[in-house]
Amino acid sequence: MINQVTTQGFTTAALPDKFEAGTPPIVEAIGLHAATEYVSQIGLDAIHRYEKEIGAYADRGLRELEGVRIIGPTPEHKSGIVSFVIDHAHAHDISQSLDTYGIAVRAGHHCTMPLHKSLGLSATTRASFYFYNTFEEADRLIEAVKAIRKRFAPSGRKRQLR
Amino acid sequence: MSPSEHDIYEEHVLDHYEDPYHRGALDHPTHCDEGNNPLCGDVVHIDLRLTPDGKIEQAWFDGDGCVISQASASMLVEKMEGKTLDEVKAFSADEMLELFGPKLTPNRQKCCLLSWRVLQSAVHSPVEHGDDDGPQFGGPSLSEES
Repeated sequence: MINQVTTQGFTTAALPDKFEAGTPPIVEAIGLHAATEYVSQIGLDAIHRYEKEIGAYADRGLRELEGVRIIGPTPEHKSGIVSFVIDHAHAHDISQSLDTYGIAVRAGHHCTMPLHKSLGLSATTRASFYFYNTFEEADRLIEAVKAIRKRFAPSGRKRQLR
Repeated sequence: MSPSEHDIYEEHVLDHYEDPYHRGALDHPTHCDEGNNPLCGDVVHIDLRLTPDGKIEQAWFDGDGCVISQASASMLVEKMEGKTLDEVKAFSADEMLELFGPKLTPNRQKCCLLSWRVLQSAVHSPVEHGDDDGPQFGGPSLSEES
């Protein structure tokens, strides 16, 4: 915020007002109101229920895959998330590969580096579901993980000698 | 085609990942260094043995991390053996990305450049020998100079 503006220059308001310039976020406030109305209309309970169902579905599907290990509790003790590791594939290679299937996941420590260290894992991949995700998309994730596991599995490749 | 649609896991990349060149520890290295990418957790260690006239006689790497970081380290140590120190120092980041091959997005370029960064610092990081068994290059050691 300014104090005075002239054609030669300006002076600022005193702290903290000098750093609080600009129009208040009116559009954002209206948008937030619309968003909370939208979410309330669906219902937080319904969202939570759906998240748990689809999360449990994906968890089950991934758990069955050979060479894939689910990290974290069983579905009844968590919401719509599934963290996993694949033998011989690093979390960042998994997430980059899933990206080519149009699937966005998070890879890394997920802000829990000491936990990963205690589990003896360098990183994990985490898929998170919300009410706009479909069961068909969970199937696509499971199929993609299957293909990625195969892609990075040791296959007796040999480096080309120069 | 954007880089993310491009297949960065080309066959020769996966070959280096599964069948790396000189992965492990080198006996009696003259120089070594280690580095990591804190965000990804990639780690690369490089051991070098330089000849008295400043050529890389042997280069070895070890580490842990994604395909990009480990395969690129293998490609780099393979490429650098036999090179002079001046050639190593002149080997640019762009040349490293070119050596790797597939075009990478900036976040994955960090993985590819990790080994390059470690190599560039390793040539300035002589291994301190507690005894006289190590190779001698005629010049005074750092401790003798001070």
